Amino acid sequence: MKFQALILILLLACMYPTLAQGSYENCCLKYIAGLKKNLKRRIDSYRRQETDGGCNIPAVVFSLRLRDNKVKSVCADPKRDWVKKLTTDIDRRQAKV
Amino acid sequence: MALHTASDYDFDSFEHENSTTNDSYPDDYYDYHTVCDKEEVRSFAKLFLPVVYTLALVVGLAGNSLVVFVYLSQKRMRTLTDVYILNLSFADLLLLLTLPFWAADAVNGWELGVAACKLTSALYTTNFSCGMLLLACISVDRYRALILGAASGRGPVRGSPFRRRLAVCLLVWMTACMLGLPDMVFATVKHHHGGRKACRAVYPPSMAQATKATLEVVEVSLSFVLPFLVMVFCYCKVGRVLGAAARAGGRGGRRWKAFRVLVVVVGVFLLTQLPYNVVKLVRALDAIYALVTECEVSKGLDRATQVTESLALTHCCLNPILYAFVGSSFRTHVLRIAKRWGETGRRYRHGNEPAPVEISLNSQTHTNSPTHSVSEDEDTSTFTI
Repeated sequence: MKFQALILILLLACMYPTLAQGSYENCCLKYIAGLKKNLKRRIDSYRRQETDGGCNIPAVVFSLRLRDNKVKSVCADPKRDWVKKLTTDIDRRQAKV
Repeated sequence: MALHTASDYDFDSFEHENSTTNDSYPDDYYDYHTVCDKEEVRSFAKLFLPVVYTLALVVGLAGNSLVVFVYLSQKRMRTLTDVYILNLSFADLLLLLTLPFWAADAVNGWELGVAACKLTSALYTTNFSCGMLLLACISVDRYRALILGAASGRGPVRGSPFRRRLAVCLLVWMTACMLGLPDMVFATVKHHHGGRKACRAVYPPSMAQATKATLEVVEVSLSFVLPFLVMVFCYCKVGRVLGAAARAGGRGGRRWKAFRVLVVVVGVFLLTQLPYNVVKLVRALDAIYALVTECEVSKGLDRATQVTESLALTHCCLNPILYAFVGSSFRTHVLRIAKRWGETGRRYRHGNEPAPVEISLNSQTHTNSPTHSVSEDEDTSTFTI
């Protein structure tokens, strides 16, 4: 009885993997619907948020340089067409430079 | 509805730098779906985790090393439960030794390299789950000793062959090591935006969400639900027998005390592990369905994780008290060691050799014959009472 129970526990436990220690990184939680063109012009750069264990949704994070030189991040859905367009635009612009 | 892309927004605005001069902030400036800044959570962790981990380390090291010391130097391994308790203390010690690294991680970020990250993560998971497995094993052994022993008419089953004990322990440790294996594989040092390094599991993005969530659900069920169910099943059966005996023997009896200890053991397990596992489940659901979209809620969930995980970790400080110190035989051994040390000190001062008396003293106390039936067996140390 004891051994059966133990083996059952152990068999089930074999399937269990692990939880990462929380790293509490800054994450995008939802997407913006769109950006007005005057703000699009202020985009400096972008980075991608991957769902590699730290954050829950994939996202493109645009860095907007505002007038007072503050930087504002905006989360966008990488699947949306305007986001794809913007990122390729930025890539092209940076390739030129 | 989701297709208001091309018509609403001007895609060529990059090319027309001079098209509009109106770049005042829009009204919805503050409603921008911006990145949720967890700096507050990290600074909370910077204060909270080192304090809690230091406390846990001091209390846990003291308790668990005393248990290991007493078991190795004095107490004979009479039951499988004794073996489990020694292993439990060992696992708890290894788990506690990872805490300074996590505290440093919370304060400075991970500066110790990938190898140390993998090793610390694997040790943490291995020993945390090993502890949970051993708690379930202890309950199974107590159940077996009392109920199955009584049913077969042999009384509490005392002692098992060395080889079988070794096999059981190896099995538990091998399983726990297997549970630590994914950490060995996936844990790495992640460079964050902003230069901070963190030691955490990095999954391939393609598999991450579903896998991570499934893993968390499976982990909750195996490192909490299953041990808990096993404990409740075994201790209910044991408790019923003990309760009946306690009623017969009056409330002051040893059986009544044993009964209360079982209630406390299960209660403390529930109290420390339930909040952590509830939070983990919520996080798993959040990972699948992206439920949390408010930054404040997300930060609250992160803080709840830190607090409940610390609470769950305190269990390894409580194990020596719940499983070893409540046993009268264990306390006797501690007193004996203390006395022996006192004598040794005096003898050394007088220039004499200390007498090696502990072995004979030790074996004297364990002369209970294995033929006792449950009703007349006064020694309830099968439950370490």
